[in-house]
Amino acid sequence: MTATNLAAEQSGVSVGMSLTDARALYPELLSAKASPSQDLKALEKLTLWFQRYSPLVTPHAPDGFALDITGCAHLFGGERAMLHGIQNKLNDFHLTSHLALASSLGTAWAAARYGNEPLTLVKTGDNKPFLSPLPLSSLRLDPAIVLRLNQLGLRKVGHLLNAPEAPLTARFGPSLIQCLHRATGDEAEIFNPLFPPLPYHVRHPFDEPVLHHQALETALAVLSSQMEMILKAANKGTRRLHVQIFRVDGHLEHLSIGTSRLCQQADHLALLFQESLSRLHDDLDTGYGIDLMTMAADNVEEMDDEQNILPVPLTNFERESHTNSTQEIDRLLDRFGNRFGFDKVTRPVPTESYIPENATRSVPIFTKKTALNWQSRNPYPPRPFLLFSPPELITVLAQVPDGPPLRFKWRRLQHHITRAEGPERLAPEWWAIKDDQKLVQTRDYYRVEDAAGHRFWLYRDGLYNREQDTPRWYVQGLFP
Amino acid sequence: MRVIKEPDIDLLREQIEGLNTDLRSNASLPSAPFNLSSLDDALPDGGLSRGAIHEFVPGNYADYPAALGFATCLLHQLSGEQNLPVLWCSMGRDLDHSPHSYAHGLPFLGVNPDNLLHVEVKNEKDMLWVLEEGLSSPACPLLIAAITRPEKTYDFTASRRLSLRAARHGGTLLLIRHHKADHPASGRGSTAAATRWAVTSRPSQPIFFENAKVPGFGYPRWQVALTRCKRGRPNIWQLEWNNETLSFCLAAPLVDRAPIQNGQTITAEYNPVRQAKQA
Repeated sequence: MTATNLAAEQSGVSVGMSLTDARALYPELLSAKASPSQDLKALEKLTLWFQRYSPLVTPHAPDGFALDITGCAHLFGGERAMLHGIQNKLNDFHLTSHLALASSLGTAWAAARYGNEPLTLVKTGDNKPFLSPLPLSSLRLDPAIVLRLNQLGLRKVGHLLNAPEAPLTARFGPSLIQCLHRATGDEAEIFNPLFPPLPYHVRHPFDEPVLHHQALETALAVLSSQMEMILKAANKGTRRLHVQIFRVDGHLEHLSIGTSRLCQQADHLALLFQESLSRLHDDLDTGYGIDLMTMAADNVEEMDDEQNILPVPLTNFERESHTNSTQEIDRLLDRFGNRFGFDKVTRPVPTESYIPENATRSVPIFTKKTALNWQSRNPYPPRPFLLFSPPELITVLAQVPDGPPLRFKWRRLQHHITRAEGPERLAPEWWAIKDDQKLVQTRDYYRVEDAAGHRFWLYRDGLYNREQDTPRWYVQGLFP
Repeated sequence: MRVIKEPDIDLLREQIEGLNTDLRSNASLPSAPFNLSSLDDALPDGGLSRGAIHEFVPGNYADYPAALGFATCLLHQLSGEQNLPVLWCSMGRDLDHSPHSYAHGLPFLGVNPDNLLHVEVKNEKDMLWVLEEGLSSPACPLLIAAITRPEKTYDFTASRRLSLRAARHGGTLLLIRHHKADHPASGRGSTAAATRWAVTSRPSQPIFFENAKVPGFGYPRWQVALTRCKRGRPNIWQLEWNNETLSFCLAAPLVDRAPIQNGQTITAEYNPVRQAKQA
């Protein structure tokens, strides 16, 4: 038995028993197989949900979590009221809870696990008197150290509090005194939150839990305009935003969107979120209702005039001013990016290479321009406008092994070559070859046309008799 | 009996006018001419009209590069001297191993790769969404898209939605359809596109080199058939794209110089217009 509920405990079943013993005590006992990894996942989910009380949360495996509520308690009517609120929530989720609030993480940890009451509030300065009657395991010590201390007759925290530190350190190492000081609050402990808090943060609580998507969309618009207000006040823009939707029954839905440029316009943010919400439409289960939504901005930067990367249409849209149409296209591409992923919205840039498939690459649309441009790197012999990557293997009949092809078979079709030009010889870039790519060979490119007028770009991989006895042929591109 | 008053009918007429204006607003935009009188005269606006959809159907599977290449050249005609951004929408190439556009080859067709915005989508539904949003945006004047899988969603309603949006903001969409789209057996009839072209590859002008067994090839050549066009005159042309001057010219078809034997009939060339009429 790894865990029991209250009813089981009342009938005498306790943690550590074997299942057969427990069944003997209470034959109708319901049991399920323990799954520590799923417990951990559930704990993390629950912890995240408590972000509604404070942005700084962290799970303490296997069965606890901590909140840093510095500066949060007054929002929930004071510390005691806040604790009661959390307890009620946990009761609603049918969880038995032990809550504690203290001025140091160590004391709160000890109080929650070793305190006598389900709800403990340790006042500032009361840490030592509170801790002294508790057993040593409440200090988060290594069990081996606890065992040895117990053998020495030191059983309570109080025994250690009054003992001289130097001999203890000498015998048990520095960790013992560190744990003690962290518990009492003499040494500051770093709170390691699950997510670092985001400074630009707005929240929208609902008076009543809502079930309808309409209400969520309205709330998104409200949150977006609040976000715009605080960003504008600080002259900041954002590239990434998160929305969290808190369900009353402890479920948390997370939406995030990205923008390619710094953005602070509420209507644009609201549109992007609405689109991502509408994609969730079928999956989003409002359950018993949603009672809180928060929006937080990530990647916040100072707004300044950014370089224009894309050409601006100067066209028949005279009524559109210059800035307007740049903004329009940014917004359009943001929406594509959020729907398909920003790696699917790309533009080609030239790269420093003579090998055709490496001579260009796709970059996210708003990457800054490179120094290279197409004209200077445009090789004279025509290049195909469609390229296969990887190139497709074909079988070729040529009159002589190092001559131009006569006919070839590609995708189960024979093509009889009536026009051919070549070879255009591209040697491998010896300066770019790494040791693990020994098979890079010279390529002879031919532009060929078959009897039906289809035009192909073929190459022979490897020079006959010098690099390769049986060179292989590939089709790499298509001409219009 | 209630008498219908005159003003009521006038009012209704005005309302109907109002409903139709969005389609007619593109009349103010100048069309993009081919600069070939025989082609431009066959088109109602004296060239490829803007603010509309134009469809390109490959003659068969292997003619897909021809159809896409012809449409890409038309992007150059539509863009002219202006550096207009081009939204290039293609279907993901994980499944069907279709080739992707290669930027170094585009300048030969008159498209500056710097103007290209490439969006890759998974299916036809997403593609239609992208095209619809792109046409709805005033900042996106040129779109090109290729449906490389059998069509499921694109039909008259979808094309009508697209062309209404195109007309509103003056965006032009060049849509390469699946090669079976024009097939009578596909069961898909007319669409709201302004023109439909059937494009097939043609052997190019041979260039004879000394000491070469096989001649080299000249400029790309296609047989282009205007199969559907409102107020236009469907016809067939042999077009050649000059990738040095970036312009179209007409190519005279090759003839069989052998004398005609007795009893031999000249076989007609593939004629999509005639076939469509017969169907």
